[in-house]
Amino acid sequence: MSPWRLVFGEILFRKLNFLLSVFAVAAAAAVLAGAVTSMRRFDAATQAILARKEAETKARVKALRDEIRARVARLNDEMRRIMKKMGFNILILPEGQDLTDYYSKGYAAKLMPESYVEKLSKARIMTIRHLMPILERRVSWPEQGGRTVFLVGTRGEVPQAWRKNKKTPIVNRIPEGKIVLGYQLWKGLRLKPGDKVTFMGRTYTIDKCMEERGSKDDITLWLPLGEAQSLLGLRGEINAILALECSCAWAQVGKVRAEVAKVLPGTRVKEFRSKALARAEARNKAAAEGARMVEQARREMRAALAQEKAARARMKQSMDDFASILVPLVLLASTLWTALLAFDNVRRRRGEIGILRAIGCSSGRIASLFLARAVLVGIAGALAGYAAGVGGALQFSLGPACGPGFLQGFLFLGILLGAPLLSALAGLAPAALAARTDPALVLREE
Amino acid sequence: MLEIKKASRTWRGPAGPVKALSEAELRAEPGDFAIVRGPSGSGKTTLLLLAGGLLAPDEGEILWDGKNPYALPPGERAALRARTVGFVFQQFHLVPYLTVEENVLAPTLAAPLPDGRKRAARLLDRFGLAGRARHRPGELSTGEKQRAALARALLLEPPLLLADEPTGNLDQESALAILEAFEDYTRSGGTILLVTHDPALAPRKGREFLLREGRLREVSSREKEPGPSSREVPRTPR
Ligand SMILES: Nc1ncnc2c1ncn2[C@@H]1O[C@H](COP(=O)(O)OP(=O)(O)OP(=O)(O)O)[C@@H](O)[C@H]1O
Ligand SMILES: [Mg+2]
Repeated sequence: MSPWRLVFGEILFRKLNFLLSVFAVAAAAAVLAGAVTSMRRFDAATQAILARKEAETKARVKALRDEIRARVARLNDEMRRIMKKMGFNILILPEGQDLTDYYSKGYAAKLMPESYVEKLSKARIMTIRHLMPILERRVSWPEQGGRTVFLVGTRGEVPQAWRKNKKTPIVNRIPEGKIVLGYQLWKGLRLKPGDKVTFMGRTYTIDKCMEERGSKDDITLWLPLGEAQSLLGLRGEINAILALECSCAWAQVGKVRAEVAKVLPGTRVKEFRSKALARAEARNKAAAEGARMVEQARREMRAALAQEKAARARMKQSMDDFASILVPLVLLASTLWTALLAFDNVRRRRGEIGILRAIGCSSGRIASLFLARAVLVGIAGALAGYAAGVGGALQFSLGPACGPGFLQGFLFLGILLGAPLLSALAGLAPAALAARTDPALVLREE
Repeated sequence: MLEIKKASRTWRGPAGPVKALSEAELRAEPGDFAIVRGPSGSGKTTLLLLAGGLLAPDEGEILWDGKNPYALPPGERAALRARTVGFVFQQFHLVPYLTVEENVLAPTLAAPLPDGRKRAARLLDRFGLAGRARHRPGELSTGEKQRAALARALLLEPPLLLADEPTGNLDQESALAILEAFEDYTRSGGTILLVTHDPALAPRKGREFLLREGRLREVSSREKEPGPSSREVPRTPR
């Protein structure tokens, strides 16, 4: 007869003790399996949530960036269109003109021949147009007590003969015998168009009174170029050529300069601060602002993500803490409970132990019967506990359904090996007691 | 052959020592039916455990065919006991969750027996338990239980049978059946040591010993079997 017959026969005979022992082991296994499964599911859920949020964040940042890029691009397009229409202004100054001197005086002291403007107008420089020769000086107005004014002589626009569709001139020439006054001048002298005014001994009719500009234009007198040259005794001389609304992009001023230099060597080409430039700056600023907004949004979303991450980590930590108390506690209680039940089993089987010893079973054989029973308790407890623990964790876990399923190889193997080990450990002392049970004492008992 | 040589045993409990057996001397040959009588507490069970290799004497020695089981390591002693001694107790000590047949086969746990089932079937048949083989001890009458216990004791055909009050719980008829089975056993060359307090329990042929306060002495030897008419029937004990 196989000793297993004894083991299984006894288990079936004393079902209650066996079931209670299995229950104890199963409780420990269930707590462990449940805790591990819950943790794994929580981790998986955390990963899923964070990955989703991260993807969302990325998508939103990208959407924002795309939107801003689109806006900047639209702005760019508009800019280009406007700038194409508007161009920018350049100022061509005479050879050898000192710029510091130009800025401090407000006009160029050096002179260049008026013929330069004809030369430029004939050269096929696509990028410049609306050429205007200028002679400008600061003078005192003898008839007005010697007050300082600027005298600008201009003959209006010089047509570029080679252009097919001629642009309408943007600055009208001043008719002979007429004068244009700056705001401060006509305002102070209470003059209006049509009035006569005397300047440096000659009398002119007022053609136009300028709006206030808030610049030196407000104390400027405009005369036809020839008239100014004759007043100043500078016949055939000018000191600036203004090219208004050049059609190229502002950024290409270097190219313009090179082209002008080819036609009029030695002249200096200055870029006037134009509306186009300001707009370009605004556009750059808008782009920078957009980038800053994107960066800010990204930072905020990252911070939110980090916060979420930290919150999940805190939750995980408290789960860990709870499990690190619960699991050992349940393990200990289960071990003690299993051991007590095993002791009870030994106590009830004293007579059986006595007779088995009497018919020749060794004490080792007796111990092995009890240990085998403990191992069976462990295996049954492992299976029941794993099913209950993992099943329960899957049933009641919160969050998205992801992470480990019912079959977790290593966990299952661990519990299938660990639970019998635990049960055998709990059964060690009872088995030793059984082995040491003296048959002589038992068999004397009634 | 069983020899008990100047065997003494003192029980040491928390309430002080009790000398259960002092310098007991006994020699039983194959075919001997030794019956030891004594009042309760005289040391009968102690003597039997000593003889059965379950309780080492403080002094003196026990010999089975000249071999001292207590000189052997526990494992070997257990193995030798399985093949040498059969036990029958007043309480039967059947394993409650095994069937009658399995109880009879229990000694094969210690000493494998190739034709164990066949032998068990023959014994059950002989003791009128053939129909009860698949039953559990709880379903048997006391007489049937003791016959099952006897079948278990005889399975390995040991040369020595030790019986402690074997008829103590039985009615006359069952007791007689057990007694007859014992006599069969001695006739086939077995040695029996039976302890009882019952003065009425007596085999047709045997050697009688008296145990009083741990001291054993042989009182008579009935060499000749009495006629069937004078056959003593054991009274119901207690
Ligand atoms: N474990 C023990 N501890 C202390 N004393 C014991 C122990 N076992 C037996 N005794 C004592 O040893 C003596 C002999 O006991 P034993 O059981 O051998 O008597 P017995 O003749 O079998 O009695 P009974 O007929 O009542 O079974 C008794 O006085 C008993 O009290
Ligand atoms: Mg007794």
